[in-house]
Amino acid sequence: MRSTGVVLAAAAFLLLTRPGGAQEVLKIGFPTCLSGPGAVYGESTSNAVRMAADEINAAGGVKGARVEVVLADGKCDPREAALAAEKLVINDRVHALLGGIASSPSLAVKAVAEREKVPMVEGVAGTNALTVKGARYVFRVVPNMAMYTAFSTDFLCTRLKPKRVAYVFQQTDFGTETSELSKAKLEACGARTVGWFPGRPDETNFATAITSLKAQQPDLTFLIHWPPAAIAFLRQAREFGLKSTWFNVGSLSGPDFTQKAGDLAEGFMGVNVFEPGSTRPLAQRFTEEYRRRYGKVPDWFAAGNYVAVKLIADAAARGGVSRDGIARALGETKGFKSLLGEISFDPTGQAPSVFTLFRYSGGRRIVVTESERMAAAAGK
Amino acid sequence: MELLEQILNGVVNGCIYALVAVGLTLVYGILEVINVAHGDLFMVGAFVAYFAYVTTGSYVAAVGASVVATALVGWVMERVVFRPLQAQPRINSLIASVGLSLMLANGALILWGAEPRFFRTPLAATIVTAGPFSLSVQRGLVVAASLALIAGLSVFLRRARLGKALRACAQDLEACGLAGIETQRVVAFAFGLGAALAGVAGALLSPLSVMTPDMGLLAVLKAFAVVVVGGFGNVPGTIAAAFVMAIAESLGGAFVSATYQDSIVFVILALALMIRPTGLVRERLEENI
Repeated sequence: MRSTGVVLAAAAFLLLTRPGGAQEVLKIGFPTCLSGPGAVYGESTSNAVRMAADEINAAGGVKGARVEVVLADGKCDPREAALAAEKLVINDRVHALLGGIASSPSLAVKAVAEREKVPMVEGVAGTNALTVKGARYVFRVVPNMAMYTAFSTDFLCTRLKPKRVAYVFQQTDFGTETSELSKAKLEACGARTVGWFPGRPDETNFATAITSLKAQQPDLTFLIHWPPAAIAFLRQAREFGLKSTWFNVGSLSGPDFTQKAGDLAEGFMGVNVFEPGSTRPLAQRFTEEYRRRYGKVPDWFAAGNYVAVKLIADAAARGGVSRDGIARALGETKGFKSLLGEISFDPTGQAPSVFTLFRYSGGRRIVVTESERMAAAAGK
Repeated sequence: MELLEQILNGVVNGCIYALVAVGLTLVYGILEVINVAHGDLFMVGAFVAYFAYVTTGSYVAAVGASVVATALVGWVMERVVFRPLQAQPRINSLIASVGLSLMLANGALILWGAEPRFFRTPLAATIVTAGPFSLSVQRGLVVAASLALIAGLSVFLRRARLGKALRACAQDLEACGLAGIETQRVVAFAFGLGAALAGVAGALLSPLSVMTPDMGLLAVLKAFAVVVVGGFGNVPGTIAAAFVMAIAESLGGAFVSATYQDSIVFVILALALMIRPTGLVRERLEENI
């Protein structure tokens, strides 16, 4: 009697769990920053990837497979991002990963991706160490730091020509790399470094740095921090009477920052790869749909990850819904049309990029200059 | 000139460190328990002040709301978490406080979101300039209010009946119970008072900075370092340590290396443990508050 019951139960189990008939799912894991100092970008990027997945599914999916984005909280911290990536790869069995938003956590996600042989597409982080020779599973649709600094320092050296430059930055891969690369290039064109202030990503007390900078009177200050720290810095700079032209590459270049900072950001200049006011048709369509769904304009973090999801889906359509198939197809990507321009990867997995430099003045973001597509080689 | 300004920065930071650390050491003095969630009370105080200010437009009301809210949270923490664990090994209370800290930080994240909050009070927007010096009135208020609170606390502990009961319980909780002192009420009061001090620190600092749900972690780490250097349960030592460490941090960051500014507090902690492990201010054996 008992053995009959066991057999019947086992048969029922097998019948109920047999795979045939269930829709295939393309799972994309996203170890984003749902908390921590970069959480504002966690929200915008999560919105964008969900929107991308919904659009793909509404159009029939990927060869019949439904796209599902699985979020995990990497907290913009390398240790947490690695744990989140491992959970996505091992527990959730995702077919591909997105990056960890910031350079340090993305490098941690890269380590997981390479070890577990899961393709990863980075939509934000700029550290040069992400796309290097020999990294088979990592691809990036946005610029690397060498490209960013080549564009921004070219502008600064030829147009602004600062004489005294200070650096207030977060002591992470992103902040340190941006500052060191920029310092080297600006010193080469005659600017003197008058302040060097690394700090924590969650720093909110800049009194010591600002007091020192007041004595040095920098005409340009690189402010390479997340929005909470940057707003704290600008508030305290005003309080202490420190005046300078504030300059940022990437981390403060979303509309959210200038909106929150308000008049504190007067004169602020930033570099990014996407502006909501872009005239490119795909970019316009993205902005309008994002605004319709979420009631606000997207930032470039959202744009980069939206493109990353679309690219992974395209790769799955070409190579099959499997980790190896997607990785192979990503490596063969040529001329993929996106709101960031056409994407083709070089042997290191890096795509070329376009740039926008804007100035915040009188409550408006004014585009100062734009680049045509800059190849990775030109930036190195 | 810069030297003077950096010392002044250190004094302002020292006031905040002192307010947060004194609360931590008050609780330790009685229960010999480190409350890891104490830094989150600083965060709760800052957020309550923010919402109260946005609602009422009054900074006085904001600080008042912050004090009441954090004192209440501290009281509830004691009743619900620490009191049931009093008879158990102290490690249990420490672990429970870690859980409390996670609850408070994540609760704040769910309730208030991860977006940084900041508000401008008239005092923070009023800048006083004297030659090369430029400072907000709010920063002056931080110093004045902190020193007043510290002085008031010292008088309370020395002169008030409840203050004396606090000191007695810190010496020997059991003996106080036998002597007829309502020790549970004294312990609850210590938690509420310590929490209120942390809350006030958050309310004083918030107009000068930004608030995020995870801002309590660094506060408790620095407060812990201050308490160790000052001496566990030693209020005068804690206050002295707060100012020494804050000024050293400010001067070190300005004139030695900005890269290692945060480490300075912990280097002092390590040196203190090696040279003077009982604390900066010598404590008499018969009392430790």
